[in-house]
Amino acid sequence: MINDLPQIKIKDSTFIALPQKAFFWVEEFTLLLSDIHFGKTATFRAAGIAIPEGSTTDDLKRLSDAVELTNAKKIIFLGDLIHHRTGKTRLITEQLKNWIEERPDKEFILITGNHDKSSDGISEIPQIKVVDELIIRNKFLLRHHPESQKGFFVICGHLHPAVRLRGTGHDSLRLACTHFSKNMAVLQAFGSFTGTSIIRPEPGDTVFMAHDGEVFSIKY
Amino acid sequence: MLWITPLRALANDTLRSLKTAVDELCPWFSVELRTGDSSQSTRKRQAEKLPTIFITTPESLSLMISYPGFEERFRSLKVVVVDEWHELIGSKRGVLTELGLARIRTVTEDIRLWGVSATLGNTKKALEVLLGRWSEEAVMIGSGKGKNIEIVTLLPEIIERFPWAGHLGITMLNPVIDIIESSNSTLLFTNTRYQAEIWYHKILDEKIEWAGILGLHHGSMDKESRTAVEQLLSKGKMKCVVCTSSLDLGVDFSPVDTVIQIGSPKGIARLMQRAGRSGHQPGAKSRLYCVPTNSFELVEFSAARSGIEKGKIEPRTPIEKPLDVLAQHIVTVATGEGFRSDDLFEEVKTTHSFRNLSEQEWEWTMEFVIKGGKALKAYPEYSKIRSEEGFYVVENETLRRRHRMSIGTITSETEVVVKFMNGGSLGTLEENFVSRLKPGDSFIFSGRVLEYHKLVDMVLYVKKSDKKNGPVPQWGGGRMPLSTELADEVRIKLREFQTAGNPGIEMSAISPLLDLQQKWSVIPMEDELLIEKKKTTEGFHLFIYPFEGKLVHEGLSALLAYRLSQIQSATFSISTNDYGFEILSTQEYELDNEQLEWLFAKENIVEDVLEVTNSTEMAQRKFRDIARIAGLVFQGYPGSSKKPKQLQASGALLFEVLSKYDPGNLLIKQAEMEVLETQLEVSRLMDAMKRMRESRKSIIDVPFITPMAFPLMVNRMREKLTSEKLSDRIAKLIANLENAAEKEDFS
Repeated sequence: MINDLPQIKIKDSTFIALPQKAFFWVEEFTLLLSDIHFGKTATFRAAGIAIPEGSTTDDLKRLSDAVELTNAKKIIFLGDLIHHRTGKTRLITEQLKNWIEERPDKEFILITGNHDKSSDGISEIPQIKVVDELIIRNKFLLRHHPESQKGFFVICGHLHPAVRLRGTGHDSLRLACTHFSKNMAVLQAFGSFTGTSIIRPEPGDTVFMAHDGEVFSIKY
Repeated sequence: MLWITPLRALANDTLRSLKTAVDELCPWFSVELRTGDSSQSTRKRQAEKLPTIFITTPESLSLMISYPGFEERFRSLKVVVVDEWHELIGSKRGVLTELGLARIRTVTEDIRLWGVSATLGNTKKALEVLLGRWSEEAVMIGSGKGKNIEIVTLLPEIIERFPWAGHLGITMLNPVIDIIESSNSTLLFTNTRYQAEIWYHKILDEKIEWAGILGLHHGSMDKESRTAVEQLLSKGKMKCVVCTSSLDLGVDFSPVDTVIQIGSPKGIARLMQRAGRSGHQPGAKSRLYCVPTNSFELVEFSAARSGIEKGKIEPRTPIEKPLDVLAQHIVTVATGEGFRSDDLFEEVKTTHSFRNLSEQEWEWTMEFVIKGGKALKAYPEYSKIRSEEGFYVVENETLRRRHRMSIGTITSETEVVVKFMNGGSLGTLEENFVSRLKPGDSFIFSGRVLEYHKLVDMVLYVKKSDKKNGPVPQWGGGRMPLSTELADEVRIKLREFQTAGNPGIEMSAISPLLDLQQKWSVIPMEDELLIEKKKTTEGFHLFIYPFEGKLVHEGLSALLAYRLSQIQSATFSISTNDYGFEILSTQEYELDNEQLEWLFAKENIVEDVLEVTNSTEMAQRKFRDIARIAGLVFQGYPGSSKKPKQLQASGALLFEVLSKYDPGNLLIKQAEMEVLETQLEVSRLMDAMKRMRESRKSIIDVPFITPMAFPLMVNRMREKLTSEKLSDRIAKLIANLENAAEKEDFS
C-alpha cells in the first residue's frame, strides 16, 4: 500500500508522501514531520481562552499510524514539537513520554524550532535527542527555518504552508500542504490545531496535500 | 447625563453642538467625551469625577462597566440619551447597548431614557427593544413631517433592451461631471468599493484640475486619510467625494448640496439616508440624482421614489439572545464590580434581546466563561472567573487587561495592510486579491496606481507606480440584495406599467425593454409567478422570477434544483439576481401541476436547504466573529501590531476543534442559526415559497431569451469565461437578439 502513495526523488533519495501529514525517507528508514505544536490548546486555556482538549490524542494516534505504516527506525521532528511553556502541562509531557517509551527500538531527534525555545526544551524526555541542524548524506540539510543553503537541499518546517485551489467563479479552497521547490522542501504542519499561511508555488514545484486520511500531489 | 452615540466621529460633532447649547443655557455644566480615542489623562480624571454630560459609545460604556467603581460613579445618573438608535438596533452593538442600559438601571435609582431614531419600518419595535421590560411606560414623539426629498433620475440616451449587470454606469460620466461642476459640493455614492475606485479614477482622468478637491472614501482605506477627507468635506473644501456606505452616516456635512447615487440603492431607507446627506439645514430640500448602471435600475429608482412617498421603509430586525455577546458581558461585569449569578441573570432578562433566555442557556454561558464549557471538564490550567462564595470576579490582572482590550462586537478582518516603503499606511486589501499579484505588478487602490514591492507578515509594501492603470481590487460580500420593501414596489411598478395611464418617466423610458418582454413572454403581475422555458444548444433553461432579492434566490434556486433532481436526476448550472434565477439543466421538465406542487411544497424546506447549501462552511466563516466576541480569539492590543503569537488561531480552526471535541457547544449552534437567518434568510425564503405556492403560475415557452432572462444568462456565463471572451460573446448574443427583436418590430 505504501508503494501506491505519491513520492518524489531528490538527489537519489526517495520521499514518500504519507496521508498522515508526514514523509517517509525510504533510504534512511526515517519519518520526517514538522510543527506538531503539542499543548497548543492548553496554552490557550492557560490564557483564559476556552478550547477543549482532544487534538493531542488524535495527533499521537496519527503519528502511531505513520510509524506503523512505514516501520521507520528513526523519527525526526523538524521543530515546534511543543507549542509554549504555558501549555506544557504534565498531562501533555507525560502523554508524549509514554508514547515514546512504548517504542524503545526507535530513534527520536528534535531539530530545535522557535517554539521549542519558548517552551524551554524537552529535557523531560531524555530519549529525544535535540540538535539545531542536521546534515545527512552530505547533501541534505535539515533545519526548522526555511533558509536555503548553498550546496544543500534543505528540508524544513516553520511556515505551515497552504495552497489556494480555485474552482469556478469565486469558489476557492485553502489546503495545507508540503511544498517541494528546487532546493527546498517545506513540510506541512503535523498538528491538527495549527493554522496555515498561503504560498505560491513556482513552475516546476510540487506540492503534496495530506487531508482527511488521503494524500494528493500537484505538479506546477 | 449620559449620551450614547454609535460613531466616534459623531461623538465629536455631538460634543460641539451640546457645548454651544450649554454655554448659553447653563454654563456651569461640564460636557466631556469618552471614546476609544480618549487619552489616558482624560480617562483618569473621568474615573475620579464624571462631567455633568458625558458622551460615549456602546463599547466605551461597556469598558466603563469593566472597571471597579462603576456603581459608585454612575449612581447619581439621571438621564440617558441613546442617539441614532436605528444604527444600533439591528446589530450586536445594539445588544451590547441593551445590556449596558440594564446595568445602568441596576445601579441607579430612577433614570429617564431618551432614544433618538430615524423613522424605521418598525419604529415601535425599536422603542420596545431600547426599553426592554420598561417599554410599557414609553412615549413616542414624532417630528411630524419628513424631509422633503426630490429624486431625479439621469436617463441614458440609449435604453438597452438586453441589459446586463457588468456595467459601472461610466457611460453616464459626462452628465455626472456636469452635475458636480454646477454644484457647490457633491457626495457621489457607489454600492461597492470597487466601483468607487473606478469612478474616482475616471472622473480624475476627465478633470485633472480637480486633483486635491476630488476625494475618495471607503471602508478599506486607512482611517487617517478617511478622517482627512471628512474634515475637508465639512469645511466645504471638497468639490466632490466618491464614497460607499462608509459615508452613510457620520458628521454633519452642511456644505454638501448635491448627492449622486450610482446604481440602485437596493433599499428605500438607504436612498433616503443618502439623500439626507445634502441640504442638511432644517427645512432645506434634499435633491438626489440617480444614475442607472443598467436599464432595469430605472424601475428600481422609480420604485424607491414611490416607496419614499408612501413611507414604506425597511424595518431593522433586532438580534435575539446572542450568547457570544452575553458571554462577553458576563466577563465584563466580573472584571468590574463582580456579580451574583441570580442577580445578573435577572438583570439580563430585563433586556428585550434576552427576555426569553432560558435557565439552561444562562447556565451554559456561565459554565462556558467560568470553566470553558462542558468539554473542558476540569483542566487545571484554565481559569478565568473565580467564585468567592457565589460572588464572581476576574482576579488575574493580565486577564482583566486582555478582556478590556477585547470589548466590542466589531471584528476587524484579517486583511493585508498596504503600506508605502517609508511607512505611510494606505488601508487594507483582501488576501485573496493580493495572492494573485506578483512583485512588480501594478494595481489601483485608495485612488492611486501602486506597485507591489514585497509582502512581509501580512503587510504589503508598495511604491507609486509609473503606470497609468492596473487591476482594481474587488472586495467580497459587498453586494446588498434588494430589500423586501423595494422588491414589493418593483412588482407594483411592473403592474402599473401595464395598467396605469402614466407610469412615470423612468417607466416610460424603459418601455422599449418592457414592451419586448411582453411580446415574447409576459410582465408578471403581483399575484403571478412567471416561469420561462427555453431549449437551446446549452440545454433546458428555466427562468423563474420571484422578485425576492439575490440572497433568497440563491437559496431558492438551490432548493428547487434539488427538488427537480428528485423528479428526475440531471446536472444543473444556476444563476441568480435580484429578480429571479435561472436553472439550466440537462433534462427537460414538463412542470405539470403535480410537479409544481412538489416543487413548492412547504414540507422540509429548511432540511432541503441545509442539504444543498454549504452551510457548514458558511457557519465556519461566521464563527470568526462569534469566537472573537465570546473571547476565543484575542486580537492583540490596539495600536500594537504585536500579538501574542502563541495565542493565534483562525475562526475556522476553532470551529473545527469545537465541533469535533465539544459538539454541544451553543456558540456553534449560534453560528448555524446566524447562517440560517442572515445568510440564507430562511424566514424570507419560507415566505417566498408560500407566495410562489399561492401565485397564479404563467409557464411560457419563450421564442427567444427575453430581456428579463438575459442578465441571468450573462451572469452564469461570467462564472466560466474570462472577461475578454465574455464581452465578445455577450456582444454576439445581443446582436442576435436585437435582430430577432427588430423583425418583431416590423411584423
